[in-house]
Amino acid sequence: MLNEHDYELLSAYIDGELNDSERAALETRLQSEVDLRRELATLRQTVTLVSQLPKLKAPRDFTLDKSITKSRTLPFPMTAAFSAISAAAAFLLIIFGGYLLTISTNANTSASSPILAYDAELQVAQAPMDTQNAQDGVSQAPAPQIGRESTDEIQNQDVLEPETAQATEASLADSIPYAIALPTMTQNAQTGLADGQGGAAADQAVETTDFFAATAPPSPGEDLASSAITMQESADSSATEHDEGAANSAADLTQAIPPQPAATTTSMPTMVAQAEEATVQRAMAATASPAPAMPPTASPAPTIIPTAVPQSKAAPTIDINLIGLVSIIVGIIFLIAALATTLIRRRRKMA
Amino acid sequence: MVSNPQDEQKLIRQALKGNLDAFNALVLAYQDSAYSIAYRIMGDSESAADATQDSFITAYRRLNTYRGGNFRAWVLRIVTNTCYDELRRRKRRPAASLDEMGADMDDGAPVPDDSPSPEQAAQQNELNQAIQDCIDGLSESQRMVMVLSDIEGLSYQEIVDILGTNLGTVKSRLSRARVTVRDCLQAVQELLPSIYRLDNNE
Repeated sequence: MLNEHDYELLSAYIDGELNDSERAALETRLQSEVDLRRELATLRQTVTLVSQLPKLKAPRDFTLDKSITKSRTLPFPMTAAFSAISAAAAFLLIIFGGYLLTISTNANTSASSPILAYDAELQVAQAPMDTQNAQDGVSQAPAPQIGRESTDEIQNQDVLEPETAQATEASLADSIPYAIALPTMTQNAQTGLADGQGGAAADQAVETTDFFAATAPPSPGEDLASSAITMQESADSSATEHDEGAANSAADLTQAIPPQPAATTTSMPTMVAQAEEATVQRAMAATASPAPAMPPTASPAPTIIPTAVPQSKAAPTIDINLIGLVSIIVGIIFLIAALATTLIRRRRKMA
Repeated sequence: MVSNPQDEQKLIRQALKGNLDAFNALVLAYQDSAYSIAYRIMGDSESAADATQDSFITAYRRLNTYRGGNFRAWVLRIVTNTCYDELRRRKRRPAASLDEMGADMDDGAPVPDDSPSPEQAAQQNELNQAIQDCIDGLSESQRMVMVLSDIEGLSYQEIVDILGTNLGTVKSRLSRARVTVRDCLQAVQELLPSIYRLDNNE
């Protein structure tokens, strides 16, 4: 019984398509196998019969005329290339739009993103710093109303802490001037209160101004890192046992700065400048009046926050949503165009 | 007619520049082969003529995709693809139109190269029709290989070039096609003249 390979050998043998060794091996088998010889004979007869079918002449000339060559030229929007390009564009736009909307949604609803985690970290670190200011104010400042103001600030901070868990976009912008301004303010308050002299506080304020001025070179990432290091040094120089919070916050800021997104880092020089202006104002106030005037230096941070919020974060959020939505809509339009042109072409072909 | 490969390449270059007369010279050179293959694959003269005409129109429009080499194989590849597409379209829409049915009924013997006596012609037509029926019973892929090899006399390598497949597949399809057609002809050989009967006895 012959197998399929035997029939392939016989078929190729008839056409002279076997190589020398294959042909020799098959001819040896043909001498000894009757079935193989019979199959070869019938297949040869079949090939002979089929090959004697007449070569046909064309019943007419199939030459082309100009009308045939010019007809059925599809305009570009009806071509397969247009459909393919539209489909690819639709895919990319929808993916891009969906990605933008996802980013925006995540930023508004959770604190899981690196930016917001950084924000929450800064705000949490800020709490002990303000608390420390208030405690210092209570223990060192002689005027009772100063203690009340500081207590109010603690309460405000207590209210603020739950907000850090929500981590809204506005708080992201708020936290940065806090983190920069507060170590300086802490130092101002402590130094001023400890010395009890407006002149010393003014000197410190001038140093602070110099410190902020030194943080305004053109490279924001390195500046932030260096300013954070300086802040840590400032915090350490306060040398009180409760200053670990401030030191930690400066250290945290140092660690958190490298992955900082561009939008945040570019807003830093503006806020630094604002902080500088506020510090100059504090220095002037400290010069005008001694110790009792110092506690207000603990509260300029809120005056920095409102100016920083609308400039840094609100506008980009709207733009991302808008761009994402427009991308998806345009992508859907491209998808419809691709499907429609494909359908029209198919109908024409069927017709 | 195209007398040699140099003339053929010259005509192709002229056709690529938009010279329709040059392309029509190529059409005249290959239209018999194209029609013959189309007829053997499609099984009727009307469909074969349509497939041949469509093939040359396609060839003219896609002439810029010809990258040199065997121009005959390039043309015949378009012919086999056109026939294959038409057969698939018929499978999707099996209901034949009245025109197609009329074409089948009116389909007489194809025009041969030479014309023998009426008796010989009748006998030959009967044999040819029996063989054609057996070929029509093959699968499309086997039918194409058998037509190109056993009717058109193309080499295995030319068939590989035309069908865009590999040598092993061509050998396998041709072997199966020949066995199937042999079995088919053995079943109807009583209808054939004795000289055409397949002899199983040595």
